[in-house]
Amino acid sequence: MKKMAIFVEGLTELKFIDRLLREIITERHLQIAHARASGGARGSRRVMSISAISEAHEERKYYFLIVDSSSDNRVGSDIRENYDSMAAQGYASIIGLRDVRPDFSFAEIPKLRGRLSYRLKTKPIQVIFALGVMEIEAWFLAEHSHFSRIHPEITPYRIKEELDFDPISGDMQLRENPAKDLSDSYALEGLAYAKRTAQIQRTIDALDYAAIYCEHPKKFPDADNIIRTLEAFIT
Amino acid sequence: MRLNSVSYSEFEGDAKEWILPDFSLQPINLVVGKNAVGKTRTLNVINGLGKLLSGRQRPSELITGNYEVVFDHEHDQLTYILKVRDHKVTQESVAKGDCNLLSRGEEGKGFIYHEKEDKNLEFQTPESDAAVVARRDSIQHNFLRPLSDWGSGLRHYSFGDTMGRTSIGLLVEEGPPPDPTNPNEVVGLFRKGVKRYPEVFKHNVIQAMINVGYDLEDIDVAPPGNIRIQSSSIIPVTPVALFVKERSLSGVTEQTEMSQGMFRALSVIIHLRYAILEDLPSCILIDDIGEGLDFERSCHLITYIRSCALDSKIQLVMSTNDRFVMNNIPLEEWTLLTRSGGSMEVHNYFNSKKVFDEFKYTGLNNFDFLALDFINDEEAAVEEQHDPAECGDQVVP
Repeated sequence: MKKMAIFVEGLTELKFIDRLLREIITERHLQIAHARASGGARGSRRVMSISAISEAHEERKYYFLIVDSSSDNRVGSDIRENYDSMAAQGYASIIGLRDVRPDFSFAEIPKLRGRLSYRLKTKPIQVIFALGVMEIEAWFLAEHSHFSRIHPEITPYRIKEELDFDPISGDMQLRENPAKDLSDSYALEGLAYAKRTAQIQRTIDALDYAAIYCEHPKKFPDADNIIRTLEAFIT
Repeated sequence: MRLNSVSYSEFEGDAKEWILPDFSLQPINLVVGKNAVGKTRTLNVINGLGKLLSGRQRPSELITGNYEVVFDHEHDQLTYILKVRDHKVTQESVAKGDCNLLSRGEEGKGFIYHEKEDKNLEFQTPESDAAVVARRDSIQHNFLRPLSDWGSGLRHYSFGDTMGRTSIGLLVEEGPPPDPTNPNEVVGLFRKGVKRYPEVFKHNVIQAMINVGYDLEDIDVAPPGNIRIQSSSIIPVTPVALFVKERSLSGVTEQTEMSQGMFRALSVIIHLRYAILEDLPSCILIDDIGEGLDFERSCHLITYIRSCALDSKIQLVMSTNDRFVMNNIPLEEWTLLTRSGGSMEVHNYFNSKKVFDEFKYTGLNNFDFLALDFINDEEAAVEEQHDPAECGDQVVP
């Protein structure tokens, strides 16, 4: 069984990655565990505790551990801290997924990409970092068909008219605050996106993962990076 | 008045030599470094300066010690130099900007500016004493006052110690007032705070404890139920200790029953609130902040202390080994200490801005700046980039 760990910065990314995996990999070949990293004062190790794990099917081939680091700047730190133990446990691949916002500006992205792997081992596990530019919600905005599943009256056309951005033809990577854009879009029909669990789940359930799988790699180099890494892993 | 920079050395040229070069300070400072690098010692140096300037310690109590200190005072800079060797002051000076106001050397002889006469006059102070203390005179040498006020207003707490948890108060008729510079006198200080500021003090302390994460209804002092005092004194004494009432508990918790972390937080908050209400403190030193607290409470306590310092213009110098604390305080406020033998190196935004800024792009948490030794990696990289030795003048055989 091949093992991959995906470190994410919060619940939104955890739920998104979980669903993406379930949509693109045959369920009986897949086992997914969720973990939460916590603690670590005074030089002690951060503890990763499994918070949920899916059923282990007899035919399972791939094990994914999705770790919620609970903060942007803990993703890289948690990967570093757990690298050796994951290598010892036979993990074949590690992905780190974090937002650019609010810590960095758009102009700082090249520097951030250049530095993310600072003093990180490359063997035996290659670590891939992917950025939500400026936030993972940009990917949700670009999957514009989901708006009508949130509410039939929320359409890309209406968003363009009333909120002055176009989720169909615009580059959502250039949106300064995609989570706010998402919230504003839902608010057109009095709905909220305030990162509460139920609200996140509603968006995750409304997304078309086939569209994300096929279209997002063309729009988002980081989505392309993740999907290519996943494809290589399961091939 | 705010401490701008301090340089210190002792036992120079000796095996026990210890040098702290040019530690530049800001309004809020977090001193970090690996174990045994000298964080506590650095805070002790600043505390020692406060004791010397306030007269709580005499230079004759030091074997050796050389201070060169700059203060920001109103629109000027005050520079104070004190050199002590073999328990004697060998050099001492005070300058305001470029103007020397006090200078003395061997045998304690020198000159001091007399404000009334507007001229420097000779003086001699015993080599055992600091002239800034011995020559205090608000008419002739009022320029010395900010130094002694700063020294008197300095507070030093060691968060890793008991912070007064094992000390109870003894009520004695017309007994001495509690010493606010003594962290162990927290019971007496609480009583005094309540007495002097009945409307706000207790409320402030309870509110602060709630902010930190301890849901308290009440705090007070009372004779401890679990301690028996045997005294042969003819003067009647009543022992008192702190207790808290937590909302979720039916009974009260006496100070000896409180968790160490809870008592430390309570103690530092009592000292801080009292100091702010009295408008006394110039600078607060807290060694080992965060010790014994969980993540949430550690973060909340830091946030609270920082906001108190910012609101009241108290200069704050904290040291820590705690990852939670490091991750919760911006790198701009860090001072990283490294050591080579007995010589410290000080790294902060004043002297290594580029390296600190560069670290941000690793996307790592602040603790990794220390853990990955980023400062040395980057400084070496910067030196390599700018080292002219390898280009130009090299002779190829």
